[in-house]
Amino acid sequence: MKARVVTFVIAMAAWLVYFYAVDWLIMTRQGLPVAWNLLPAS
Amino acid sequence: MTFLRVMLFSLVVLLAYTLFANILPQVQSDPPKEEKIDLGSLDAAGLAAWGERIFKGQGTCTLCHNELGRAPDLLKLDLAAEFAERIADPRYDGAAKGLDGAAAIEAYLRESMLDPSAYVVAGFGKKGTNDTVSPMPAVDRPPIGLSEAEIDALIAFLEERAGAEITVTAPTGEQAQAAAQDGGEEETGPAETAQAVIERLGCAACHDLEGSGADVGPRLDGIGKRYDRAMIRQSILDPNAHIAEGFEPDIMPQDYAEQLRVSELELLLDYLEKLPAKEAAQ
Amino acid sequence: MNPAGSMRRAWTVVFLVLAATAAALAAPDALAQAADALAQPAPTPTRADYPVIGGLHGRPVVWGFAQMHLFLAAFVLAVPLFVVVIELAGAVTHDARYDVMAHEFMKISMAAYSFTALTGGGLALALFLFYPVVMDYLLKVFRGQALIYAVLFVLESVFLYLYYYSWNALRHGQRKWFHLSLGLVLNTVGLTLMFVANAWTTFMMSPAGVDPATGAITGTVWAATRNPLWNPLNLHRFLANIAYGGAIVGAYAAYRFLSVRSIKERAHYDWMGYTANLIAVAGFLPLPFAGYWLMAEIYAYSQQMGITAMGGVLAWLFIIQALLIGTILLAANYYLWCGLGRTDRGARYAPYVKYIAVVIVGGFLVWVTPHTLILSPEEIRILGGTSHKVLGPLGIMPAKNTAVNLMLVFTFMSFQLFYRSGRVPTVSWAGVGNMVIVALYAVGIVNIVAAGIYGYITPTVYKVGASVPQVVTTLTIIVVSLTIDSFMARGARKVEVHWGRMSTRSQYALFVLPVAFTWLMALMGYIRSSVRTHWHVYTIMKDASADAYIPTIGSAGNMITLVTLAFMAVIVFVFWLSQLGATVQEAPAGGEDRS
Repeated sequence: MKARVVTFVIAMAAWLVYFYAVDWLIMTRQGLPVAWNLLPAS
Repeated sequence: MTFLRVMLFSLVVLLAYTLFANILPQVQSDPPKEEKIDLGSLDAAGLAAWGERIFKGQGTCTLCHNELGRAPDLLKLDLAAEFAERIADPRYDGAAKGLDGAAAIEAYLRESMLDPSAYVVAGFGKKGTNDTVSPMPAVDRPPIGLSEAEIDALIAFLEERAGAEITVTAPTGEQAQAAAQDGGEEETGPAETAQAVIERLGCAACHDLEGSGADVGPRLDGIGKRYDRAMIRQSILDPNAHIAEGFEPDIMPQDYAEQLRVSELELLLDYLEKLPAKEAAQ
Repeated sequence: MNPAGSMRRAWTVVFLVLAATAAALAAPDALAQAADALAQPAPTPTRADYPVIGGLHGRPVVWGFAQMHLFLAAFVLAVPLFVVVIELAGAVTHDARYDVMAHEFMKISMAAYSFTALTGGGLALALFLFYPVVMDYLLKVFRGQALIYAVLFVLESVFLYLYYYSWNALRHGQRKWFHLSLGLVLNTVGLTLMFVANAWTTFMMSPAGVDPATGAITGTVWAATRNPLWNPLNLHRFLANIAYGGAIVGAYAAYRFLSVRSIKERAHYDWMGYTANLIAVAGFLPLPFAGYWLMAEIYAYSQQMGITAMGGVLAWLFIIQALLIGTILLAANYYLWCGLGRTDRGARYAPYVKYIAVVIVGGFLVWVTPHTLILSPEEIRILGGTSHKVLGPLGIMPAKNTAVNLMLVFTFMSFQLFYRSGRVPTVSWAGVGNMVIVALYAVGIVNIVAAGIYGYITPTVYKVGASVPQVVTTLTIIVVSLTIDSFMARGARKVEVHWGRMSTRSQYALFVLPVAFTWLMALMGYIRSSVRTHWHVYTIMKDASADAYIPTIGSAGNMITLVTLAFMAVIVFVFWLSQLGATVQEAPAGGEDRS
C-alpha cells in the first residue's frame, strides 16, 4: 500500500513537470510570453 | 415489431432535433441590397447618415467592431479622445502625423480603412506580430469592396460621432455616377519620393524601414549588396519567386505591380539599392 | 497453374493500373484549354441565368441531391477503410472471426454503391441544369481534373467489385496479402476521389490560382486545388467518414442483435456492434481537433468568413452542433458502460460510471450554453446585456474547449475500463503502471482545467493559444494509456467475455449514433455552404439567384430532417437487400417443384 502511494506521488510530480514544460513550450512557440508564475508577461 | 420500434425511436430523435432547430431564433441573412443613392443631393448630415447605414450594413463593420473585443468598439468609445490619443501615440507614423483637428481625423480614418496595418491599436494586432499587422481587410477590396463615395460616407459618419467637423463632401454629378459604380480608385498623382511610396503601400508594416522595427518580412538594410536591381524588382513584383530563408511564401501582397507606377517603382529601387547595412544585430 | 507466375502477373496488372492513374493525375494541365479562354474574368450572372425548371428552384434540388450523395459517398468510402484494417488484424492474428466480420461489413454496404452513383449522377445533372454559369466557370478552373474524376470512378468500381468478389478466392497465404493490396488500392482511389471533390468545394470558399480582382485563371489546376482550406477539409472528412461508417454498420449490428434467436448469433452481433462503436469512437475522438484546424484556417483566410460562421448569423448552429455531439458522446459512453456487464470483472468498475456520467453531462451542458444571443432591445433590457451575466461566460471558447477536452478524456476512460475488464495483468510492474496512468489522468485533467481558467483571466489572444495545451494533454493521455495498456496486456490472464450479454436498451444507443451523426453531417454542410454568404466563389463570383440568402435554421433543419429520412430509407433498403441475398427459399415438401 505504502509503495503504491509513493509511486503515485512520484508519478504525479513527474507528470506535473512534464505538462508544465509542454505548456510553456507551446505557449512561447505561439509568441505568447509566459512568466514563471503562469501569468502572461506584461 | 423490432423494426417498427427502432424506426419509431429514430423518428422521435429526429423530431427532437428538428424541433430544437425551429425554436431557436430564426434569422435569414439576405445578400446586401444595391442601394441607389442620389449622391448629388446629399448634404453633410445626409452623407453621415448614409455612412451609418453602411457601417451597420453592407460595410460589415459591426461584425468585428463591437463589444466582443475583436476590434475597437467604435460605437461605444469616445471617438474624439480615442483618435487624438492614437494620433499622438509615439508609435503612430501615418498619414495624420503633423496634421491636427478635423484634417488629422479624416486622414487617420481614411488610412485606417485603406491600409489598416499602417497603425494598429495596442492589443488588436494579429497574434505574434506585436501589433504591427492588422487582421482588418482593406475596405476598398473584396470581400467588402466599398466605393470611394461609400468610404467618404463612412468618414463623414465617424467624424460626426467624434464631434469633429465633417471634412468630406458628397461627390457631385458625373463624379457621383462613377463613384457609385466602381470600387474606389485613388486619383492621386505619382509619389515624389521613395518614402511616400513606402508609406502608401505600407511596406514598413512588415519590413524594418524608416525605423519601424517590423520583422514580419526579411531585413532590407544592405539589400543592394545581396541582390542586384533586377532581383529586388522581382521580389517586389513577384514576391513568391524567391523566399528568404526562415520566411514563408504567400504573406507579402502579390499585387504591387498593379499599385505602383513605373516612376514610383524606380524611386523605390533607387532607395533600396542604396539602403546601408546596419550594424550586425545582436 | 504456376502460383508464383500468376501472382507476378497480378502484381504487374495492378502496377500498370496505378502507373496510369498517377500519370493521369499528374497531367490535368496537359488537358488545358486555350490560354485566352482562361484569361477571361469570372462571369457575372444575372437573375435570368438561373433557370426554374418545372416550378423548381435550383437550390433545394441541388441541396437534396448533394446531401444524399455525400451521406452515401461517406459511407461507401469509409467502410473499406476500416474493413481493410480488420482484415489485416485477422491475417496477422490468424483469427478467422475478424475475417468473417470484415467480409460481412463489405457485404452489407455493397448495394449502397449504386445508390451513391445514382445520387452523384443526379447531383451532376442538377448542377449543370440549374447552375450552368457556375459550372462553366468551375470547369474552366479545374479543366482536366473533371476527366480524371471520371476515370477515378471507373477505377473505384473496378477495385470495389474486385475486392469484394475475390474475397473467398483469395483467402489464404500469399493470396490473402494480394487481397489486402487490392483493398489498399481501393482505399487510395476512394480517398483520391474525395480529395478531388474537396478541391472544388474548398475552391468555392477560399479560391486560389485565380486573380482576386477579376477571377481570371492565373494558376495551374494544382494551385486551385491546393487552396488554403483543402487539406483541413481533407483531414476532417477522412476522420468523420470513418466515424460515420462505424456508426452506420453499428446500427446494422444492433438491429440484427435484436432480431436473431441463437446465442451464437447474438454473441456474433454483439461483438460486431462493439467493434462498430469502437471504430465510431476512435474516428470521433480526433475530430474536434480536425474541426478546430478547419475553423482556424477559415479565420486565417478571412476573418470575416470566420466570424460569420461562429460569431455572426450562423453562431446558433454551433449550439445545435453541441447538442448533437453531446448526444453522440452520451450514446457511445452509455453503450460502453452497458458493455461492462459482459464480464464479471467489469462489475468492479460500475461504481465509477456515475462520475464519468457527471462529467459527460456537465461538459455537454457547458458546451451547449450560448454566449452571444440575438436579442430584441426589450430582451436586452431584461437580460441586462447582450449575454447572461452568470451563464454568458460559459459560452466563450475557454469554457467550451475545456468541456470538450474533458468529455473526450472521460469517453476514452470508459473505453479503457471496458478494455481492462477483459484482462487481468500478470506482469510484475502492473502496480507501478497503474499508478502512472492514474497520476496521468489526475494531472492531465488539472492541466486542462488550469489552461481553461488561464484563458479566462488573460486577453483574447491567450484564450485561443491556451486551447493547444489542452489538446496536447488529451492526446497524451490517450496515447500513453494505450501504450502502457498494450504492454501490460502481454501475457495477461484473459477473463471470459460473455458476448451477447447486453440489454435491449443498450442497442438503442447504437441506433442513436447514426441518426445523430447523419443530422450532424447535414448541419455542418449547411454551415460550410452558408459561410460563402451571397457568393458562389467567395469574393470572385456573386450569387445572383433568387436563393442567394442564407435560409433560417428552422427551414434548414426541416430540409436536413427530410434528407436524413430519405437516407435512412435507402440504408434500410440496402441492409435488407444484403439479408435477402443470403436467403434461400426451401423447396416445397410435396416433392418435385412444378412451378
